[in-house]
Amino acid sequence: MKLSVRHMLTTSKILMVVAGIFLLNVSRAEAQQQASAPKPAYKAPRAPDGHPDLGGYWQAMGTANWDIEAHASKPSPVVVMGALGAIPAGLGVVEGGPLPYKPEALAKKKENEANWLARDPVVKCYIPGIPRATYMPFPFQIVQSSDYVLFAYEFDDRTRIVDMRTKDEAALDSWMGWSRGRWEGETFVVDVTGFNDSTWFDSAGNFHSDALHVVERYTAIDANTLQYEATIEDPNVFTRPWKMSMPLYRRLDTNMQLLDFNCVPYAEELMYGHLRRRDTSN
Amino acid sequence: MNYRQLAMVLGITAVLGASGSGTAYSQGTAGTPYWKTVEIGRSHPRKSSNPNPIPRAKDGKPNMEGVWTYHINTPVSPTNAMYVAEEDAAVQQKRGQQERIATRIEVTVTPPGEKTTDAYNTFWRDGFWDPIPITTLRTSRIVDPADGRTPALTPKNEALRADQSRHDSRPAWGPEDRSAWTRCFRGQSSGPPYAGGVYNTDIQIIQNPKYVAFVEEMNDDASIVPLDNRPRPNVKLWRGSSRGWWEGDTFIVETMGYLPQSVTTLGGGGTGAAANSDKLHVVERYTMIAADRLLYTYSVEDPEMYVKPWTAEMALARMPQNFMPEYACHEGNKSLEYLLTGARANDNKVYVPADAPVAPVRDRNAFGDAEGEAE
Repeated sequence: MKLSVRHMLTTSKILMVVAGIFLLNVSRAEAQQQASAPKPAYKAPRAPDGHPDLGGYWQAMGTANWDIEAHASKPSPVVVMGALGAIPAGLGVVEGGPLPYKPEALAKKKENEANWLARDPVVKCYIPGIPRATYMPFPFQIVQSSDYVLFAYEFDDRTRIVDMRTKDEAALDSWMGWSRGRWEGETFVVDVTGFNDSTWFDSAGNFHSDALHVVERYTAIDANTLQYEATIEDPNVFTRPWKMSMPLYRRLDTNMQLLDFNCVPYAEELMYGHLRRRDTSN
Repeated sequence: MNYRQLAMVLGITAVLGASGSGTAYSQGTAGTPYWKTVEIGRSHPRKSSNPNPIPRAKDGKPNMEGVWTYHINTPVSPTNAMYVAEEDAAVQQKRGQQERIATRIEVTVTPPGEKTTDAYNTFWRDGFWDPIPITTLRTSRIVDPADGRTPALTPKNEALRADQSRHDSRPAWGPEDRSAWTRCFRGQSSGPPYAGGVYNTDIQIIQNPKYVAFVEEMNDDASIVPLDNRPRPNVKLWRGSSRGWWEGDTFIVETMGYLPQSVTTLGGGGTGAAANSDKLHVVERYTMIAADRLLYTYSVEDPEMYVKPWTAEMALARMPQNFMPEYACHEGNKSLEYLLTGARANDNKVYVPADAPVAPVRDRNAFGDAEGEAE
């Protein structure tokens, strides 16, 4: 009896060690897979022009919209919302942290975070910009043709049209930027320039200047998942380019379509309520 | 789409059309939806000078991709005659452009109590840099009823328009006194359908065999029309839910499920207001008649708002550029902030002399503004 118990303990210890090594290897392999560009073992169905067909309804899971870096959960800033308004934790989507801020830019990031509700552009329903539109907690739709790829985001009912042919530079700065697309094998690459300095990466105060340059890469890794990568370059704010990556999941809901999130009305009281007439007796 | 699916779509459409509009209201004969009783091409589209053939997509359908303007120099209701001659159309188009250029850009100093002359932004408007085309020889966009005029409004529509106009013209008590356009919920001419407006009156079309997308420049709104006739959601939307199909070379879009007062392009009392009900039912037909002309026929049924259905038609003109600049209305909406600030100053009888320097209104933002305090 004693012997068998000891034997069992030993066996379970060995099993635990083996399992540990196995898990370690798996996580190491996963980390390696995440760090390098996804291997396009999967071939997406083809569009009429022979390129991968990435059309459909997509949505990021996770909490990058709250903070693109790893973060613990936080209480709601709005008391009446209680637990419903609390901010969920996240593993972070930035590859190899921390974000390479220049010292003065890091100070501004911290100041932004401290004044989050007053400064986060999305609180006022301002256009979220790229890449943030991708991982707002709302679906978006891709409509793809040979010459144009339309991204329609449910948040703010906002669109962005990627031009597959133009060599022109951005004619003017904008919130969503100037998107030029190309195919690199199985990967849809979008080069985005011409940004203004008014959007953020998340609700944690991570920001950029109008020198922002984003290169996005969308690769189908199975029928219902896109691997998304965005390389961020902004010499005014960061000391080097950095990369974020996350999966985007296909929304498989029956009769899926985008609905409205025309949020301008929802920011009106916040922005203009103090200018309402107090005496409405006449 | 194969013929069987098409037949199914048409069958379902016929049923929806028949059940959606009461017999007293619908102009169609029994079982025929109203829009099918109005043939396309009644507006006498002018011949295009563009010699190129109609572009075709890989699936053989007309390729409508590109940027199109729906600002057409044809009034909604007829002037004197129902048609103009081809020569007169060319002369009128040129004269319209001249008139717009002649309206100089002036600094508008509006005396208290008077309305602005509205000349300050002439150069933004369609027609200042390029002529607004006259693409049809009819002098009215409305091709049904035959008199070219919008059918009578219902008492409910008239009351709503009067109410919205009254609120729009008084010093605003709050944002609710202004239209969906002024508040940046919608553009000034947001559809579907598409018609009129003064600027940013462009749509960009992107199509593939499964979807046709219509993106409006003003307020950056998109109608993405699936071709698989999936059921509509039980949710009212600002743009309604659109479903589409090809009939030969004509692309048909049927839209319903609108929010009430969401379609500013149909007018509604007050600038940029809307007076549609949630019963609004729109059928649009797009037919490429030249490489740079898209014949556009739209039928409007809204039994709560018009005494009978009506149909308008015009030819959209292809724009020379292949992109639309970003339209960010809400992000720069100083108009609403200033008009409310002015109205509150009026409440307190604080009259500002015309030559007073502009006050830094921004500092008064109770919600705090990033630029105001940080830099």
